[in-house]
Amino acid sequence: MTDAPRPSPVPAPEDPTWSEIVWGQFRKRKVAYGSMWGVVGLFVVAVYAPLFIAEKPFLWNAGDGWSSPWLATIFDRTVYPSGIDLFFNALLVFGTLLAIPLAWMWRRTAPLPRRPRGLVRRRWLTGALLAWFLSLAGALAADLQRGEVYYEELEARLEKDGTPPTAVWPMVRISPRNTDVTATMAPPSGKHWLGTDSAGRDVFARLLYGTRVSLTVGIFAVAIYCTFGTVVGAVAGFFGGRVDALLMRIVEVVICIPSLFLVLAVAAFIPKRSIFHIMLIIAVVAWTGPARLVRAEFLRLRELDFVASARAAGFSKAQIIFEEILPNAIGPVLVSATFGVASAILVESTMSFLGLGDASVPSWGQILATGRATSSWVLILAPGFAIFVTVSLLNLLGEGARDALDPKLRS
Amino acid sequence: MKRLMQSGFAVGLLLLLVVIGVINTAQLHNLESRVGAIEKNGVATKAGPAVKATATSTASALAGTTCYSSAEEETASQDAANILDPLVYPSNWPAEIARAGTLKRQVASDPPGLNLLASNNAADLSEFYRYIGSKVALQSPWDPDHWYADLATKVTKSEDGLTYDIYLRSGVPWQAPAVDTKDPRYAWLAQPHEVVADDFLFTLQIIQNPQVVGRAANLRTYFESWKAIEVVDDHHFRVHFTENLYINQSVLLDLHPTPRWLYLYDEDGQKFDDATWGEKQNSHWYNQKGIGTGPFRFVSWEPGVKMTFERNPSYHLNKCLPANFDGIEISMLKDQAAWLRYLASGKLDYTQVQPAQFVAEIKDKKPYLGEEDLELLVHQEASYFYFGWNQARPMFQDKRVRRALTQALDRQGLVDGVFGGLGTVTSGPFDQGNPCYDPSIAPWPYDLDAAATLLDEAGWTDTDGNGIRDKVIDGKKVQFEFTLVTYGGSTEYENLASVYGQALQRIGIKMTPQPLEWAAQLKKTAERDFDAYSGAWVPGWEIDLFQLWHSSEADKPQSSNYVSFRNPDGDRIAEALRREFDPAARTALCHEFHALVHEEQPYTFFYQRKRPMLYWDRMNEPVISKMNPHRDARLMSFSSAQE
Repeated sequence: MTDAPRPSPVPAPEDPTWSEIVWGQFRKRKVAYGSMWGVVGLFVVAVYAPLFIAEKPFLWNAGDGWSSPWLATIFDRTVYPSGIDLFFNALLVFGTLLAIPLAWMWRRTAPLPRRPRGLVRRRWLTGALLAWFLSLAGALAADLQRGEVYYEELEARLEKDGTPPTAVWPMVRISPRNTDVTATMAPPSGKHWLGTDSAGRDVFARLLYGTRVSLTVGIFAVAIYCTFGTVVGAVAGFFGGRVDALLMRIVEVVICIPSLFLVLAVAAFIPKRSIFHIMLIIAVVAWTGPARLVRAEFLRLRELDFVASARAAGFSKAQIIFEEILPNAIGPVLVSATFGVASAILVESTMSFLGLGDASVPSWGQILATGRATSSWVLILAPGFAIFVTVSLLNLLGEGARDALDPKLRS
Repeated sequence: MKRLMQSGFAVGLLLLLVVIGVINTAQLHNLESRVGAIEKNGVATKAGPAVKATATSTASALAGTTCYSSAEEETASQDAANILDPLVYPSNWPAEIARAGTLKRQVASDPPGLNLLASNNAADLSEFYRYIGSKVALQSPWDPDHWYADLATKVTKSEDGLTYDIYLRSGVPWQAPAVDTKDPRYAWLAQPHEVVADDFLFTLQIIQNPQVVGRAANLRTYFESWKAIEVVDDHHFRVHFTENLYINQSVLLDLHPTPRWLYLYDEDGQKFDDATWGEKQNSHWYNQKGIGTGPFRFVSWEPGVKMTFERNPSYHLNKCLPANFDGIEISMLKDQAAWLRYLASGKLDYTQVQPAQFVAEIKDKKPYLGEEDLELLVHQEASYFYFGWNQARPMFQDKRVRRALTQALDRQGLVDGVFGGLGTVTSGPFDQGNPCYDPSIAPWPYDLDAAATLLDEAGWTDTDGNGIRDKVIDGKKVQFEFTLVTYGGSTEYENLASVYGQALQRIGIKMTPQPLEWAAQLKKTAERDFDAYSGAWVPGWEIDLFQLWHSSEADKPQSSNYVSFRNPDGDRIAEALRREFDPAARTALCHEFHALVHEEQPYTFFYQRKRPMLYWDRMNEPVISKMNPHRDARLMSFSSAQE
């Protein structure tokens, strides 16, 4: 790295940073550490679901040359009508492509001292994220929508004509959206690992793709409300006085409303609910938590010396809030966000279960509702188990993070 | 902490749901295996089935016999001019009726009110008024071609068909209103009233008053030929018509009285003024209660919980068709999937079974729910389900497009796969049991290739290669995308929308389902604010095509021609049918209309539903009402053989 600054004259062993201490503490908590890998595993499943289960062949040759329908349709709105799928498919394609140079660079910079290493890594990461967003935007703008070809049927037809195509297929050749009225409520079998639902859709495929919905709802809803709540809390805590009093009264009013009822009531007012509405609705009821946490931290921190010196140095209020105090106050928010993801997933499942979700995306709550309506074991247990595992993993992860952040519990 | 508790609570709730589901299923299996074991050991579970056998083997003493409720009625029936028939019991009329106990049944939701004319959504209401109300004559539930004497003992028709004379039964009392008349505020309601001719005049005045919204607005089209009601005396009135139309008679015989002494007054007994009394009906203080002259009297209504009725001891048909129960209790149970559980726990006497549950738990699984004493009856309903295409929108104006949409719907596959095989695919706007339905017209087959060809012919092709057909309409390129409003909260319709959406996608049409609550859907269709919607219709026994199909109805704001069907041939047939009295000629006209809508496809006719009904065998096998199967508790009874 040519642009790296020269090493400092006295090379001393590096002191661990705050995040390294926390990470070290976290790793000592085996259950939480394991849960973290479990959550990572869920992400891998969500991102790479089309590699296991998809209806389009990776490679296809019907005598007119090779093509890859799988790749050609990965951003096709006809095949993947939901925005969530396009987002995850972008992670799958561009994310994987960008992860390779990133990993290579990570290894290259490992021997560097902390400051130049951090600088280089941050630059690369920003570049990669930017590249990824641009690719996603490009893929969406290119409007890659074509008429859908059903390759399974095409293959059957070609085989009947005596000209079988050469094709490489995903492990399971099923789309989570394809219905089949001749095979509704089929029991588990080799073709349908968990059977089919009452519209003849494959339950295993829906469960797998449902991971995408649950994680997106969880993370995005939490990101929305944590951002909003943090800003409100920071303003209230920093300024205090009337501003604080006013904002906290608003918070108290929102807290007083039973959140599930508010969610159901708000959902009933939106005629065409999409999954993004669901995220917003969850955010509307949940932002008060981080707001109160951040306010409490600010009330404590603003009296400390480093804030006073920042004031004396003539920093603007925005600078003091966002650059000085906030980084020190964000720990508790991160912990509560982990729990928040779990509870947002539950709220989404509850809404789908009650028929107030987005009917166009495969969701665990919706499978559960079908199971209840049809008294089917598999349809109740499979999504129930998926919800249980996901929520438990996230809660264990959150507990571990909370303990690791607590200086009193350090070992 | 709050967050933790919240998520903990939610986890608990979901786990509880899962556990309950598991336990429920496990219990069923347990029960089933227990019953199986008992049977294997040769121990009789109950004396129930044996008693049932004797009950059914005794032919009903009443079956096929005629019954007169009064001497007055018998005398009137001798008059050859009387168009009313004497009551004849059906062949399956139960022999042993207990005439005691309370019948417990359920509906999915509350009615919007209990004013038969000013409240909306008549479908829910009419069931309640079957119990508390009565009409000029009683259309036989088991033989709808016959009208029995009810409030009138005699009805005669003039030669030219323009005048009807109605002679009322004397001494029929109005039921007491459901208020505490000891309360000084309601003292003005304390004295009893008799049903008189003026009460029928008041009904007509309400229907003809444009200030009244609700059901009266839908009915108005049937009363356009009514000139006047002339009250001759308290028990005799005469109806004058402007034109001799076929439906006049059934609309007249179906007329119910409305107590002027109640609905023309406010809660304190003050009379409304002449200019605004109609408007006052829409929010009348008594609209949350019911009143009538039927076999039962309205007692109370707790919205969202239940509605109760008690026996009317002074019912005028008590001799022939008395109330079979001391009372009826109708619970509002929104969760239809739970109905079976309520039945199994004995909280209901009978209930309808949802298709998914029928397949999973009932079909080929006798004893049902592990209970030896549950019986099953499957009956086809008179109503049909359909999809309406809004022909005011350019997209749906071409009949080839509408036919393509029909041929893209795998109706038989859906009925078999999604609706549990409970129904028959239908091709026209009449009940298949009605002679109007032409069985020789086969429904268009499911054929995506044919549908695609039709769309090509209609000029819808995919010019931009995005997989969706498009067409230039009025100089603008339009993609073939539409929204289908469907029944919300129905798993079957959710599945149907997925299946249909996929099929349409294959022929280059993008359909977005929009599940809506019933009330919201009603509002949307009434305001014509839809591309397409799923609906159901009870065509009635005496066919009149005006309300749904005449082009003049398309322009009226509250009328039922939601899809704006305008067809000169359709208008001609609808008008001719109104004036045709000869049964054979009427059938021919109906068949002509059936063929026309089959060709035009203003609706995609879907199917006629079969509804399975489970009932405890303490009940007699229900006599099925042709018009309202499962929704006529007058025909239900407990068996006295089993006490």
